[in-house]
Amino acid sequence: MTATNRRLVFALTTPAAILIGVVLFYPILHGVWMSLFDIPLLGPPPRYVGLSNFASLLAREDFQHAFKVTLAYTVGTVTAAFGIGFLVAILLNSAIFARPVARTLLLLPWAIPEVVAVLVFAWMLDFQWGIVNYLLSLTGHFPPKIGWLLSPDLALYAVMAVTAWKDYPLAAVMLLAGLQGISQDLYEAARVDGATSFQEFRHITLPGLRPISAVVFLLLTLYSFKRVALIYIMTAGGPSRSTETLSVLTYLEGFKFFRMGSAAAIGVAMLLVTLVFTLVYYRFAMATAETAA
Amino acid sequence: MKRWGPRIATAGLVVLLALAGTSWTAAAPSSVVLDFPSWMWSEPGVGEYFNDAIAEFVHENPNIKIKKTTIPAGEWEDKMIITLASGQAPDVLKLFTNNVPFFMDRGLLEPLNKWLDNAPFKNKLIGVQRVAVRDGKVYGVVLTASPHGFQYNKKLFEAAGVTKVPTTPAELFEAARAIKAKTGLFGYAFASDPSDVLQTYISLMHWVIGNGSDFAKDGKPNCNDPKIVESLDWLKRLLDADLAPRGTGVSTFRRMFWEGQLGMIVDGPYTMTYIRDRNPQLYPSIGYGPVPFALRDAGSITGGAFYTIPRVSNHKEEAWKWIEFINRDKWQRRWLEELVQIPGTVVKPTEKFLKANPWVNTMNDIAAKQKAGFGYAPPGFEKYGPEFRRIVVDNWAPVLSGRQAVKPAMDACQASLERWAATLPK
Amino acid sequence: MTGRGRLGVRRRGRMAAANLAVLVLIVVLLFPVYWMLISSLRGESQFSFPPKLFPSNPSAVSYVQIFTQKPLGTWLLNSTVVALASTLLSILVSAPAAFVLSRYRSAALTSFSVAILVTQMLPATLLVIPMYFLFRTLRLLDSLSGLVLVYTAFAIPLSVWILRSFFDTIPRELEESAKIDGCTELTAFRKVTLPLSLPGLAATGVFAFVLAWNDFFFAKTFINSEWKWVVTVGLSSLSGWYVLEWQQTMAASAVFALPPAIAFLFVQRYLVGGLTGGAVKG
Repeated sequence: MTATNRRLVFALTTPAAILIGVVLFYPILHGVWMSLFDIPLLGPPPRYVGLSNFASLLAREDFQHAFKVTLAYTVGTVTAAFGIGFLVAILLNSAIFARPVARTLLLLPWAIPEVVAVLVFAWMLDFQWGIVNYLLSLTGHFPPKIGWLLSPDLALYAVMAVTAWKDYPLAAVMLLAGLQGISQDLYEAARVDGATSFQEFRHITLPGLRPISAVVFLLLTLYSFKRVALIYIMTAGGPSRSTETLSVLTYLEGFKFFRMGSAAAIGVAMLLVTLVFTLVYYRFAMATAETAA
Repeated sequence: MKRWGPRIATAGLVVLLALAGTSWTAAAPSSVVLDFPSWMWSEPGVGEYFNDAIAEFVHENPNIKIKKTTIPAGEWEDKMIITLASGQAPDVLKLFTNNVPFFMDRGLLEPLNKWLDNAPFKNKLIGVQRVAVRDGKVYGVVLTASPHGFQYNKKLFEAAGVTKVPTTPAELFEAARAIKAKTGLFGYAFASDPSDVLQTYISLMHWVIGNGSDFAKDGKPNCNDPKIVESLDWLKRLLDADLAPRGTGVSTFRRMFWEGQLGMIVDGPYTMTYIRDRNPQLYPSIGYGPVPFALRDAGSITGGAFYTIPRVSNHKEEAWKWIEFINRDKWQRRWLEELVQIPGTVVKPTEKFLKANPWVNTMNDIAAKQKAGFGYAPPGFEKYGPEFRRIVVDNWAPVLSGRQAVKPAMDACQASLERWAATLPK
Repeated sequence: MTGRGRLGVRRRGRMAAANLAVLVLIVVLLFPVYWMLISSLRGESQFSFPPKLFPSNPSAVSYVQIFTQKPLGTWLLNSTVVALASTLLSILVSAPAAFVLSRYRSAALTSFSVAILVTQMLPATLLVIPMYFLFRTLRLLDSLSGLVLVYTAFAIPLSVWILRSFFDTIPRELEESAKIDGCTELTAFRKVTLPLSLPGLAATGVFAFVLAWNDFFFAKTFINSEWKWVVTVGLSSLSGWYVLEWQQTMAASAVFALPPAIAFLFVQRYLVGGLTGGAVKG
């Protein structure tokens, strides 16, 4: 880099760095610092305990359980949100009827507040009055009523459904935008060569979407891993802890059980896990995507 | 495209500067500003009561201004925790009865003795007041008490041919069955939405306390006490016979009740006020009495709220002025007669009022016999209430979903409670 | 175009299939939205069974109530101002950073790009108390500009990464030729790269807007004054201790979804195919 270039690089990245540094990095460091203390929120002053919050974490059953739930939740929601988003993006990119309207409509779930999405889904899945149980009963193939939010086997799926429904428009918009980055020349050349539309899709569209997909996939994963509000409003981690993810556990520990230090330790553990994941992912998935682009 | 970037940048900056200005306008007090947050300010009825009271208070004390911060009810707890945890506090803090011991023990509240000892209403405070006393020090003044009682829809009783108000669980069950058979409506409802741990726990406690037990006894878990299993078995029977809805939260069944679509509930008197305001035609048909459980007189829960002054408040004298003001007879009577809630001081209702609201006498009777705050906090585990309640509800959930009977569920509950209790610091 | 007939039939078949698929997706994915609208208009009790797909005596009274009894207008205005300001600010800050990350390589820059992702790895529950301290020190509590800063900071990581992958797809030669014409690197970025990345800018803009529009957690924590409430906080005030105002909540949500919907309608034309294709060719 030349001196001019270095100045340019510095000037263009500084605003983002300052904003993130002040608003987010400082609180994160504070969070890491909290994980080294015993903090009875609203009580006696914090007491330094070194790494003992972390040591007790590993032995805790609820931590291990929450870790498994978090993995299932993340894998399920990211796959579903990305899958639906991909399908929607491909369809919305073709010359369908009333395209602007279709696009607006299919992005609409994004505009519904989480609280309301949860209320509506919970009501649709209600044991007594829910439309879902009613429609299933019409088919005659199901037990008369299913406790979607009452059964520890089903509640996680219900929560994943709402999450995927709220998240797929994000994937769809980014992929839709990504599709515009693929040069039309490639398609024209392929058509001249007599490629079928499946071949076009396989050899032009998919590779073209790869860089953006890699980013979208990573970010959806990070968002799902740390999501709190939606899950907490819908189930508060229940029934019988079946939807208690790590982030829900941090909320319970900190705000309901007043052990902020231990909550922070869970948060730091999450940060480490996601950081390792991101670095590995970056090294393999993103790097190859970059060379492909 | 040429001047596109700079234009947007300028526009953005102008918007931001305009916004930033807003944060500086609030301050600059020439008189004392009392910070007094509440979820009640914009509630119909209660909001008007406080607005009128504050208007008069401010008129009497021109040097005091009251900053009424509205906090949505559902956000109250988190918001107070965050504020207090960062070393700040409002000047007047309303606390729910079950939260008072917690705040008291953590040294967050100012003792009120020096003011209360000379206050005219000192000897008029209702029995619940003792919840806020520790080692002779008083940390709060009771605002209201909400003894839970048995509420029933007489119209549905009539339609179902139920002539006697239930006084036992078996009679309640039969009444529910008759209501379902004749009207198709649910006879009884309780909080059975596992995402609302506190309310679900309270719904269980109505039955458990009514049967003379508690989930903890002498500082030890007591979850599989035969009395508990016996009482909760009634709830399972109601669910299995489809006489009570499953997975229903309080806001849902309260709504069913005031819409006239539900036979019986056990709940606080605020439900009655709500029906009076939302469905006045139904109001005269709602009965209010002692719970239909073994301990009819003493077996219930009393909720309520207190006024407290946080230790870090800068305006304690002024905050006390408010507490003294609102405890004057005029405002206490209005709390009773207009809002039909039990005020913090003893107020003798007028004949006319009792005629229009006959159930208030019953409620007062119940209130007099209750031990306040009773039921929310497991004896011996008060400090760990939220965690304790959550373990109970976690183990109750399999009964709600129909996959487990009460006995094995309560055995599992006992086991988890014991395991958890062993990890607590001594 | 030879063999037009055969290809045409195939193409028309494909289009019909695509249209049908879109229709099915709309019906399935939008059903909850429909259910929300129906709930807001329902005149009868919500406890009727079987649930009715169409309200029997629809009533718009809850819409009137939310605007007359509650200051929904003020809340909407606050949300709009906050969301627009966050959108503008996050694009202004993210696009240059993304450009640098796309055009230059160094160890420091790689660390920077990973570091901004680290900010997305802690749950908000843990950030909120330190942020509350910080905002009190900065005198940004109970201020809408404080919220703008929070949302912008949260929007930057995704925006930077997405925009970077867009800039990656734009051939450097275009900037080089602009530079030969006498442009500085910055002008080349502004005049050549940015216009070609319009779909990416639109997509990240929508993202930042929705992020700010939908947030509830930080808004409820940092804002006190009722006249500074944003819509999500107002919505939560509709459910009190004792009862949930069901119809009003659903009506308010329908109104709440309208501004983003309009934004989608407005922005979606920048996501239309063929825009860059032509430009890059030329």
